Amino acid sequence: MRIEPEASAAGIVLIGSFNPRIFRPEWFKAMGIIGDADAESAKVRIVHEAVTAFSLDWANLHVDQNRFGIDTSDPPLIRIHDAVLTAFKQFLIHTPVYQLGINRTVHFSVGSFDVRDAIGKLLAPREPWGEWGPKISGDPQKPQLRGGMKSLLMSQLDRGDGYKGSINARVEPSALRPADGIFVEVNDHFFVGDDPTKILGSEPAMNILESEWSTSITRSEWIIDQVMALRERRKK
Amino acid sequence: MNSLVSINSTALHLNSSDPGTLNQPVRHGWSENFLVTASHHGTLKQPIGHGWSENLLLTTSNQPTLMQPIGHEWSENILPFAVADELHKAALMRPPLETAPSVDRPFAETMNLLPHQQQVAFLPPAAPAVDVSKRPSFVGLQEWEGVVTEIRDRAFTARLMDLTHPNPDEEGEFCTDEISEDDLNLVVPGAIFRWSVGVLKMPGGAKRPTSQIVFRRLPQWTKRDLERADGVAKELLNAFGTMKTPDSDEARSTR
Repeated sequence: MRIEPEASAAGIVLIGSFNPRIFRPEWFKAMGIIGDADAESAKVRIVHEAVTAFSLDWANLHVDQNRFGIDTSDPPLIRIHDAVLTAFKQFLIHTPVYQLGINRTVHFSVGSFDVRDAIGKLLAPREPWGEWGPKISGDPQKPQLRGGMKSLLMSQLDRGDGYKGSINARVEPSALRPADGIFVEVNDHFFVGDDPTKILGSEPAMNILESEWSTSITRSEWIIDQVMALRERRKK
Repeated sequence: MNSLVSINSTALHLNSSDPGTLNQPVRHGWSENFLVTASHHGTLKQPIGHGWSENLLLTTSNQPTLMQPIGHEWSENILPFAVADELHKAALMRPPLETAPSVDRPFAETMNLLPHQQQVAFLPPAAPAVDVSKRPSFVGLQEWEGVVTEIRDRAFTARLMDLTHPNPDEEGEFCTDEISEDDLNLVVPGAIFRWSVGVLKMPGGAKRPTSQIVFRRLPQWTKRDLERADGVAKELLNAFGTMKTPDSDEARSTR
């Protein structure tokens, strides 16, 4: 990526049928997915048959009966891939997983509010908004009242790789860098098979995760880089 | 608890003296269970009652999220505070794209929300949300994948593949003091690790160069993996077996 991120994270989301009570730090430790010190330092918010949520030094995990989510902002990001793969490919093979998401998020600075505003105008021009367009920006002397693009979601529905799903990118002002930051998240969404009722385990989803993780992360960073490139493009 | 339960032939209604707190009926679900549906207009402001000994199902969105009753071990509130809170937060943060990251964005409070964002504001958060801007963040700038080739006293040698730039493989020597305690027993010949080099960005803006070595905890090979690998190997053998190589009998006979 051409701009050094201010913060960067990756996540994996599975949609399926889960037993949240299983996913305790002790279970991950017993299965060799995390180490002793990791398990002991875990900050458990809740472990219940309806929902489990805890944080490790390097990851956050939230599981309810339909959704498993893990994310990390600490490199190497592949640790969450390894944890999910080991949990579901080696131990929870009969847990049905119908959908898989590989997510990549980045906050980066473009140097100034005006540059970010210009990028916002490139992505979402004011002109199509007619007479309202010029009013959106507000008074340049009052930065706290400057309006503009708040959120833009683009979706590629024809994945082009043979999988069913979509590639979705969202661009927003960064909450971490309110003055000059941009937040981009890319959601690489896979439907596992054509008929969820025929999915009896996690293997098909794990095969996708195993084979597509690297491609997905690289593609997501490439998409994020396209947004970063707007910093130069807006000068032309 | 300001709640009143009334039963008619087909439904169980729970009313509250707090205006606007519970405006959906509590339907009679299964023979011994109840289904409590929270509408999306901010309904359950308080845990519901404490008199029912059977199971309850609470849904926090239009789509029931819990297909099984939630437990039956509560003596006081039907829904433990922490469970309700976690489910509530998860429902609020659930994105329209189901596998996208959960988000907590500052939408204008009066904006019409998508169904997944419609609030069921029945409980305050159990703990204040973590402000990520106040934590240091480690941003990786370059990453290598390493394979341990040799182990010596308190050090090991590894072959390194640059994952960030297309550089040739390198060899590096690492001190085991740099390895976390959890990973020490994973340092064996052939073990795979990631070496990330980057900067630790402090909330005040300071940057510190840092690096981290993490040994990978990969799943063991399964029988299916081995069968699949065997199949690929056979395919390759067949493919190469039909090719004429310089050392093949046919090639030798034509020399």
